[in-house]
Amino acid sequence: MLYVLKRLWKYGLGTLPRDILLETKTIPAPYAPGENNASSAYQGLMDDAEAEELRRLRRELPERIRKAFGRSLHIRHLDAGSSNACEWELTALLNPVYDVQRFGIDFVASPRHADMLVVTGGVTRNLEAAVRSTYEATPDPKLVVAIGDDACGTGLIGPTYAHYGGVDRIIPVDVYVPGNPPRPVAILQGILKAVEKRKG
Amino acid sequence: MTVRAARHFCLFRCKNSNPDLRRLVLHDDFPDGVYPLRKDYRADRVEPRVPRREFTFPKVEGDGVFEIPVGPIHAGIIEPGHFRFQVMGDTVLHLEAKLFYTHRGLEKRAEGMDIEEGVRLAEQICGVCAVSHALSYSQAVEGIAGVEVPERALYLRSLFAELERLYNHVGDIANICAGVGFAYGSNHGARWKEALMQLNARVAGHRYLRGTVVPGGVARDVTDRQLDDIVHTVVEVRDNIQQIVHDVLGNPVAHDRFKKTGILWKDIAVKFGAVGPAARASKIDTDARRDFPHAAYPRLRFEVPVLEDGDVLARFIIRALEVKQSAFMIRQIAANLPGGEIRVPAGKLPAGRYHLGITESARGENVHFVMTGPGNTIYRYRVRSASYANWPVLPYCVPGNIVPDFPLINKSFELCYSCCDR
Repeated sequence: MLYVLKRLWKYGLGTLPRDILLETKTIPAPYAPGENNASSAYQGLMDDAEAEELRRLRRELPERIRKAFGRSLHIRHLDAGSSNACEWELTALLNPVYDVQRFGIDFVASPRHADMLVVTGGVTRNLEAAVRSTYEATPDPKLVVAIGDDACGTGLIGPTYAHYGGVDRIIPVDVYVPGNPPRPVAILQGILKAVEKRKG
Repeated sequence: MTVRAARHFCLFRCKNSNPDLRRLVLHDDFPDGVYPLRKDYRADRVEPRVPRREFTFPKVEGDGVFEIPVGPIHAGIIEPGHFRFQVMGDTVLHLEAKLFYTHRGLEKRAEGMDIEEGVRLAEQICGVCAVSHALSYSQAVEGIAGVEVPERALYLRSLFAELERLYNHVGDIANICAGVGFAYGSNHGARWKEALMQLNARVAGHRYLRGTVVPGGVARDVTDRQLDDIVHTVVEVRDNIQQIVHDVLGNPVAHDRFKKTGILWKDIAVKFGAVGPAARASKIDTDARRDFPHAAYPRLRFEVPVLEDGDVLARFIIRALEVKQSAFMIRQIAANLPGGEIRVPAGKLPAGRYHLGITESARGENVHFVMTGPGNTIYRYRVRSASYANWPVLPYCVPGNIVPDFPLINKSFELCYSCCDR
């Protein structure tokens, strides 16, 4: 009970039920007290900084999205030749731990339904036409977020005969999320940054 | 068959008796006479686009036969590839896949690269088989250098490889459930996969275990505390996954959708050289961990489960069985991890030598061929990934099934596009 009150004090009402739900499932991990592995948000799995960041995003993102769009944010994923890791991190955003649908974010099946494109991979030559037509099919005003080092143009592969090595060489990019691949929380930070940009 | 023919690689120019001369890797708007893997071709050359030539798909004709094109950009969060279904009603008559959309030219990119740096490129081939690819590459390099990898490093390699197999198999179990829209299985599976990903991050500092395996050993050591953490988490995931699999198979709807769907017949699998869990679910007893002993596998006790049916159900069950085996192996590693060094320098490599590296990833065997050039560089690099071996059998499993079962069959193979396209 004391615990519940403490959390109420710290994080406010809005986040309470889910937090409690998650934290009651915490299992005693084999770590000494004081080490950061045992004490975090979900089953002692995330480290404290990341869990705290996720909580911050949980407070800020829905509000920002509502302000910028007046409704939920619809994202279309576009693979421009990535190594599959970024895809799985985007999929992880939909798992019960991150569960971005509670933030008012959804992944949609068509660019015509999307406010934002998240692009993974550095655009292969074989996909260039598909990337361009997906970009054109997305209604204006649109946001483009490049996910991962290759998409940002800082990857190891770089330009080859089959690879452009950067999304911004083909379509304009609003926000870059570096990482190889970026962690799910970093992707959410990138999405938040893009949403803020839309407001300004 | 599209992918099969790609083995007669159009990146070189070779005349052979290949009956299928369609352009596979370099798509239809590359000019003629472009052979990137030739030594006089610069890796970053920019080719002009020529007018698209037709990529012909075989057609089935007749009353009520329709063609459904799908891709290259799909509706979900997955990789790009193009599929052509010839259907009559809901039944698929013929399926043809056009791949190599994510061809990045990695094999050409590797040429001239430093040997030590090459392992980073090997990890870029595929995000979710990063350990296996890095291990294959490292083994090839160690074969050339003739170095002995320390005992502790061998055990740690097996540990990382099994952690990778675990998160892949748990994710696949979730995905197969998602293929029939069974939210209980897909959400619980996703939750335990995330638990394993976060375990990876704690142990190796990377959710996909990149940067762990290097030529000459491993780059990251684990402490006793971390070993306890690994065993604790893995055992918990194993127990929960067994329960989830039990519940999923007890559900008549899920069971009905899995059973007799997408059967991979043994003779097809043998003909096309299928590998990994897909082959083992079709009565082929193959496992690179046992057949080509590497890392610490010769010192570990494990069984290779083999099933007979070759349908989605068999591929689902075989993953659950392998999760058990992986957890068993991880416990053995934690109990028997020897002390000592974790890395020895690979040293200067002689030019003009080559070697193979073979490892078992969660999708099957990954084979890397590395040939050295002067000054400790890569002269030629060739990757035959597990997905590359398994893509050709997929179109043989689909005809006779209904269109809505294709995502399920595809997910039960869990083939990676970037592994195949490179």
